[in-house]
Amino acid sequence: MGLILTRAAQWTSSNKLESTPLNEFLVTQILNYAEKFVSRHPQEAEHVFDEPLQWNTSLVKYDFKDDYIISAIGVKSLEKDSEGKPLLQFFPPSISVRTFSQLSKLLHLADDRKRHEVQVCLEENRDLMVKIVGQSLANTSEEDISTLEIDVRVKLFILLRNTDEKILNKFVGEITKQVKLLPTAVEEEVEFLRQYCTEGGKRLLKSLRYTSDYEFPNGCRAPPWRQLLGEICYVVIEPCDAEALYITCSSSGVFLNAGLDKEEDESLYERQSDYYEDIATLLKRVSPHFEENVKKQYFVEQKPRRSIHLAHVVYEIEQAQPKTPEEREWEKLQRALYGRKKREPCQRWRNLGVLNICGATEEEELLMSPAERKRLGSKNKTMMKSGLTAASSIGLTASQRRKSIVASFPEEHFSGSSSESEEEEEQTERRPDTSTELQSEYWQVQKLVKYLKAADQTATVLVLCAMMDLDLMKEVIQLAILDLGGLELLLNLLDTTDIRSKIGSLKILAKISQNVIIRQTIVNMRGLQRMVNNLDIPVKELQALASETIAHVAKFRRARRIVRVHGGISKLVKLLECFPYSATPEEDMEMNLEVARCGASALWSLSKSSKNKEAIRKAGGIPLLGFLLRSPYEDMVIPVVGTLQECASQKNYRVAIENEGMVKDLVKNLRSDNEELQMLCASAIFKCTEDKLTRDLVRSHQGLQPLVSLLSKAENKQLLAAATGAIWKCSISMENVAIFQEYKALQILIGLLTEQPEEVLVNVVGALGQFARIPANKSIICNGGGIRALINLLNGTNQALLVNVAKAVGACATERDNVVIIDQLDGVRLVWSLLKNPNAEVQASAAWAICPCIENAKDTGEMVLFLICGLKLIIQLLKSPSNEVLTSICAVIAKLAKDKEILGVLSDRGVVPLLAGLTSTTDVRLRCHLAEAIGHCCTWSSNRACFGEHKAVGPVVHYLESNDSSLLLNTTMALYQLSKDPNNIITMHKEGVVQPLIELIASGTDQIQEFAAGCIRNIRLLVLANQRAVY
Amino acid sequence: MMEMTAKSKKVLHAQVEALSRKVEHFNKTELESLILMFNSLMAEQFSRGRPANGLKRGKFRGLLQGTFEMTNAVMMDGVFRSFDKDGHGVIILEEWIRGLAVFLRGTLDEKIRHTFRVYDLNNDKFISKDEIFHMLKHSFIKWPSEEDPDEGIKDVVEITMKKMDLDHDGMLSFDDFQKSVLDENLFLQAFGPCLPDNTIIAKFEQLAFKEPEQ
Repeated sequence: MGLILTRAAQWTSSNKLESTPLNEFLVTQILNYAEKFVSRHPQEAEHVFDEPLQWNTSLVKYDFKDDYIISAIGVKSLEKDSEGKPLLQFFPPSISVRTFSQLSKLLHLADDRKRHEVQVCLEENRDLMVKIVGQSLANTSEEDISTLEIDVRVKLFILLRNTDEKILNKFVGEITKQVKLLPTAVEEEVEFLRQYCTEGGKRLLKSLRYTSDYEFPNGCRAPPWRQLLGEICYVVIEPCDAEALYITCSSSGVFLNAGLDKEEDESLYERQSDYYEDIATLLKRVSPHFEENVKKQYFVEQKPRRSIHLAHVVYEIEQAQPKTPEEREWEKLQRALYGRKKREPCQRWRNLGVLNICGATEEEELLMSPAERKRLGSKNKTMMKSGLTAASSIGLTASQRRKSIVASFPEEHFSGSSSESEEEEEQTERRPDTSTELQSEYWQVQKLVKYLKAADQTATVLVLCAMMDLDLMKEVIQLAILDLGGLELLLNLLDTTDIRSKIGSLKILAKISQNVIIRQTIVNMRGLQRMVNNLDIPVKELQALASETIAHVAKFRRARRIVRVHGGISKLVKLLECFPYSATPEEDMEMNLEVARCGASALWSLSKSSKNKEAIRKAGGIPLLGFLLRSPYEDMVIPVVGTLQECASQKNYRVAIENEGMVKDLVKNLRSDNEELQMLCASAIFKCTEDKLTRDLVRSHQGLQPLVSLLSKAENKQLLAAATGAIWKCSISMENVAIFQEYKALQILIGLLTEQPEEVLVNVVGALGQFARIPANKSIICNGGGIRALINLLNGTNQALLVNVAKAVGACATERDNVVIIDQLDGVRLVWSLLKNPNAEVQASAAWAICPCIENAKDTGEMVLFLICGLKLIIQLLKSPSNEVLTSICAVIAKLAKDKEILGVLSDRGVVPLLAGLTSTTDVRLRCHLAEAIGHCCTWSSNRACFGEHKAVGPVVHYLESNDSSLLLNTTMALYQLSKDPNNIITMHKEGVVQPLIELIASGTDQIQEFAAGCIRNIRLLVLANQRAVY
Repeated sequence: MMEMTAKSKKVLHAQVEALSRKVEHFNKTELESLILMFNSLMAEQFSRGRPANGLKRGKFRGLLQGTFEMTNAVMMDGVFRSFDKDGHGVIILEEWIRGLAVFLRGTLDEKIRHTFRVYDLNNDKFISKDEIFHMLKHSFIKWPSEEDPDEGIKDVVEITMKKMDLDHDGMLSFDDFQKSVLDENLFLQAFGPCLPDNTIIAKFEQLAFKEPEQ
């Protein structure tokens, strides 16, 4: 704490701490530190001070509680040192404390008076450090600390020193907030720049001089009456590439004056330029030569000068801190040049390359000789007198202060006028890394916005044109327009009647609305409504720009909804009618097309919401889109196809696309050179070809071949995903598969099974599943390494992908040879494990894939039995709510039940009641596979009777009412199996099974005839047996 | 419409014939209506001593103000100057027809020529900064009272010049102006409104061309 007290704190003549904000800051910091000391450093806290800290406390003895012995004369702590002396003694009003732990207890007791206690303690113990650690240690220099033995005392010492530093650092931060441009800073900069007035390559400036050689004691050179205005001095600089500049340096910044030289005329003091924060910034603005060379200079420079020494009070504090020489030099340099701001200059000088000066190689050089230090020290004193008195008089004794009162007058003014520059800082602070260039753009925007506020129609357009010249795609500018109220003005212009202002405004809005924040703000400011209002003003350019901006803004749901609710969609659809008369002159035509294009772009953005799709259709958009789709202009077709492919998720649109002959145009544009257009067309085809007619249309318009050729564009993943999607859906038609194969699509698709993103893989695998319906293709897939890739994909998590993979694997497994390969690759187990997937679709497709695997396995038992828990899964899935899952699982059970051992396991696990429970279904496919499963399960011992007990027989009999031949086959088979149990026959008979069975004996299918006949035979046998038993 | 004598009909016919060869944008009936309109404006014109040989500035300004909704005096004078090609201080019939052709049906290029003439206040084939400043002088209407609006206007002039003065000679030549407008159409009426907008054109045409058809 020693340094803080000697250097930083401000003392009154009676050795009290002044009540200044800075002192308060210090006290608070120290208080916080002392309070937390015990918990942070318990060992050091117990160290007994060399001498006790003594002061007159405001506490009374009743404040002391348990841990103290309270007697008539005073208070002693229970805690004692090794010699038995108490660590705290209190003889009112004097208190003495000997450890940090006692100190913090005391502060705790003092409660709301603790600030006061700390302050008094500091005041009465100016040699705090000496008292705590002893004279010898307290005077140890920085270098010698490392030689000391580390004991508790030394640790404490080091701790305190570090804290000292930390608080000082914060303190410096506090000070620099308050300090403004000082004479010394100006002087240093002038000296610095003067170095570069030399002849030769390094030359930045021709000459540089003050207008006056006389320096007032406060460091200013301006005449006193001008000092009152905060002016420090006047400099004449001749840049290499411009006329001499007359510069005024004042406390609030640097600016060009009206040519002041030798104080001839009062009017010459007038300010002619903006304020700049320092001479270098001004020069950079005025002299391109300077700007260009100042950068080079510092990078080229090998041996930087080390003369830039600071003359700043902060420096003195700084010096006291153990820092690396480079750091110190670097900070000095900053302060020397720009005493008033902390961060900005740093950024700027970094830009200028000054950082190089502090390069490691120069370390030696940069260390100052002791003589220099001394010189600086004395200089600093004079600085102090003149410089900082008013702002933050640090480390000045009372006598020093008195001396400085007269001289400090101008600075008084400095601190008084600081509010303006603080405001500036607040605005810039929001974007901490703005460099000078960016800032100038910010001011530019601010200026234009100000003009825009004031301007009439004519000037408004000119200002808007000026705004268009800014780099509107730059975020800084976009946000500046937003922050400075420009966006609101631009939107307000849309409400005026002046077409040109509206056009100008929209030209800007169309660009800046590519920024997300701007988009949201536009929506919040009701900007979309205003744009929609402008859509029906019969000025083509206006309509086009408004639509284009809507296209940009309507990127999120709320925005899209607003456009719809305010009738924007029907207006936009109207804009698509760009050929009202065939006799439109050519130049108008071009504009009409542009309007239609922008309208379509807006609809494209809007069509991402399903209600909007419907609104576009209702507004009559589909035929217009279909019409524009035929346009030869790519720019036009892209948004049109974009809209169509978004909308194709709706049945209405798919039908329309089919009926209005748009498929032909989509196919045609697949052959375009524009990948975006190709992608959109493929995507539209992908979505539309759920319908068979569309698939056929794609084929008849020769669309299949270009789709295959798109597969070669493997680097454009979006395009690839759309193209493979289209191929997948088109290959649902077998005729299409045949044509795809002519173009070797299968081989290419197999090649795409690896290293593709999931959205591509889903489609590729889907397509393979379709291709695999042709037997020859199954072995092509397996032999081409396709099966290995497919099985690898089974380890994924994408559900859509898993569904397709399972289907493809299932399709391949219908070939006996392939099952061997699949099994070897562990494919069956992986497919089986998909049953665990929570997604019903995945479960079903996995189950369907399992069926052929079981069917074609060499030894089903062997394949499945090691998957005992797999059987458990099957049973569980019989409880699934999804009919598709139930159907597929029944199919699996039917296959499994052919193996007696497995059937036994399944029966043990209760398959029969579950199956019986399903018999009430009305789903034909489920009935079909259920009947099959029941039929096959009957072969196990008591299962037949068991089905009867669970009332499965009755419902199954009614399945016979169907016309579906496979259902009839499975049902008769099941009934035949069930009829081997007499009780079941009774049930069947009751349900009237005989009549339909007799009819089925005449069925066209041999098997049905057999099963039906067999069943009737069983019934007949039972009747005969009964009769025999009666007689 | 007052009764026309056979003679005046003949004159009218001859005028229409002559003008239809010179001016592209109007058909003969339209020309006829515009000539009649010119004649009636002439007749309304109060003239002392020798009859005027064309529309005088005051009468023309009245028309611009009333029919074409112009308000800015500098612009109206400019439009008069643009119509009055020979600079004789009155607008004769041919100038009237040609001027209106640009006003109502002009191509972009014709309009550029027109507005350039309007803005070239001293008719020296250049638009200078001073001229621009003069035209924009009163353009800042909501300027904070404590600040000098001229400063802002000057800055706007500066910025605009920087953009439009393509050959950097400190003045706008016709070339500069034309190229700037072709690049950014908004510059067509950069320094003040001097062309009627679509609604006014439609209104005027209805007024001027409807009558003869009846």
